[in-house]
Amino acid sequence: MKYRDILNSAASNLWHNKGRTFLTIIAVLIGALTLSITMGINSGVNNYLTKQIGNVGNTEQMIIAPSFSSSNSNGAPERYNANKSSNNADGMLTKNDLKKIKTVKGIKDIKALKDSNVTYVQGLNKVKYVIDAQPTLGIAYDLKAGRQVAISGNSSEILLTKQMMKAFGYHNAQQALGKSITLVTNSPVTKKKEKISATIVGVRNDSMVSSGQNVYSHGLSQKIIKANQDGMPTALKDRYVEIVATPTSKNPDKIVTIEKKLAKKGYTAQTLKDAVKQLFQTFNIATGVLIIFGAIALVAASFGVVNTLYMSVRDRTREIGLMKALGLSQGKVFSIFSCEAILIGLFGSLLGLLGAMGIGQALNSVARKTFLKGIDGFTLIQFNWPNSLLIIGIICLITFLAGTLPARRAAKLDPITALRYE
Amino acid sequence: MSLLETRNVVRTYGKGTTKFDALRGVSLAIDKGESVAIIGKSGSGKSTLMHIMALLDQPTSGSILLDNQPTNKIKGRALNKLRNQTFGFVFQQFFLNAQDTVLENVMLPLKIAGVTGKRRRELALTAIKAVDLESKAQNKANNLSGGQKQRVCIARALVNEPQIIFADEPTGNLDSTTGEMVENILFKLHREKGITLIIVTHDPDLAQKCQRQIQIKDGLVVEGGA
Repeated sequence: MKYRDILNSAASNLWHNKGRTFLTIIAVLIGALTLSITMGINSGVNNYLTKQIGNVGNTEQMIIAPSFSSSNSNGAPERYNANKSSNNADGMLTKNDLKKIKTVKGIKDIKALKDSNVTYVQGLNKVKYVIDAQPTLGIAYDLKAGRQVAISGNSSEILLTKQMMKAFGYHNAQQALGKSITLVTNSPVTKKKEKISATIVGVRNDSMVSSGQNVYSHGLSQKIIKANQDGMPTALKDRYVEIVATPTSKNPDKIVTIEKKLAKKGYTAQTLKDAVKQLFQTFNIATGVLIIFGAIALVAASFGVVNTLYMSVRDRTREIGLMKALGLSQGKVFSIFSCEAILIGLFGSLLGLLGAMGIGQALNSVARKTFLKGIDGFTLIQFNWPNSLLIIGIICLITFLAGTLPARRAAKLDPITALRYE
Repeated sequence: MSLLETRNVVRTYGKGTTKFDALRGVSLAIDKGESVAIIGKSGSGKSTLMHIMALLDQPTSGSILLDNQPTNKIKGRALNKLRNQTFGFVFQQFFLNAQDTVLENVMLPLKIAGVTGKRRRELALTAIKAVDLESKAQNKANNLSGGQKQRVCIARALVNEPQIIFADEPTGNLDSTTGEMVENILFKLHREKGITLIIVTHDPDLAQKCQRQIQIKDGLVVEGGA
């Protein structure tokens, strides 16, 4: 018997028992649907992450801050240790901290960021706003338009968030580029007010990663710091909000070692990658649970396939007997029933995938309007060929395996007994 | 020269106290082109004998020779091929696939043999023509009368151009008129195509139409074995 005839025989038998086939396919479909949506969310999230991380560039960069622990794990107050972080109540780091951090091996480009306080900013429409900003970390921020700010030199440049740009009264990013805004700062000591102007060189995309902050160029932040520290005693000038450093190796194990070393000295270090991963942990838990549900549904469905095929073997006992009497080999009989099982898997997974695509589209449009509103480039559920083919492949394999039991029974049928069967 | 020969065939079912001898040493020879009736009462062992001669079952002892070649060494694929190409079967209960068309049913042995496409269709239509059912080729087997169904079975048995057709009570489910029509077709094929016909029956009228009658009783040949 040729493979085409085997396939035909399997397909026509499924067709002759439409009701039964349909119900079994639905069971498979539910499993396939769950798995497809899960994989869709996974690849949606991962795509977004890769894009974000790819944009950012130096994702190994660490942000180091003192770990706050006024008490140890037993709840008792912690003893003072001169070798540990200064642990100031205001969370600021000192020159001493910088020295200690520099002794840790495996990190380079250690930069200490001083506090840069801006009282308010004014743009096109002269409305005064407070600004949430940080000096550039030297990474590539995800931009909607324009370019990155200078990471050295004196130029006063700024990256605005989309909200800030709109607040200033610009209609779009192109209009904002090259315009200047005014930052007003004063010294807490002398109360002297200073106006600093900065050029908008870029507009940031809304992003879940390193979100919501405007970014100063190196020159701009220096100017702000200088104004802030006007009249301040030298001893107070060298205080830092955070220290950034880059590990010399990108090896995750080595980065963990560095983080541990820093923790021993009383600092917490977090790479951008860690921060990004933490953000998506909820997603991962959700997809994990969905995968378990999908797997359970598929296990249940595979029992359905076993049952359906056993019924099929019973129904076709005489036909199998006849075909074997007419010289059909055991292997071919096995193939016919395996084929039936695989077809159930194929239809179930295809329909499940199509269903998932439909649901995915609906969910995506809901997500865009609600909880992902304003986040550019994040499609919650995405489908791609390799994943879809993988799902179809896995489900066909599962149904094939489920079908082997009934198919074996059919293959082993004795033609004489089968023909006598009433 | 005999086409099919059995030598001292014994077939035992079960073990110990439930042991039962269906055949107790059957020796017979059937020549090429002969028409033979195997007759006997229900439980006489005639069906078992047919199964063994058609190589569907193996004797407990004794041997079967096809074209003077012992068949006990033929296994698996070769055995399937031999059965497919040498034998045709007509059963009392027809064993047609009710949901398939007449053409599909007749094509089944060709499908199993791996014949495809146009040739398969042509061979099947020729066989259908031989039993005068051309007009019903596209009908579902389910919608045919008993006599027509049995004619489809004959066409199916015929389609592979076998050397031997085994017919197990071919008229058992038919009334005498349609039964006679089916008989006529079988004997016409036997005469015109030289197909060896082995009919298992307990109907003495049908048996009389065969050239030779082999009487089986309690697992032994009582008449006509040589």
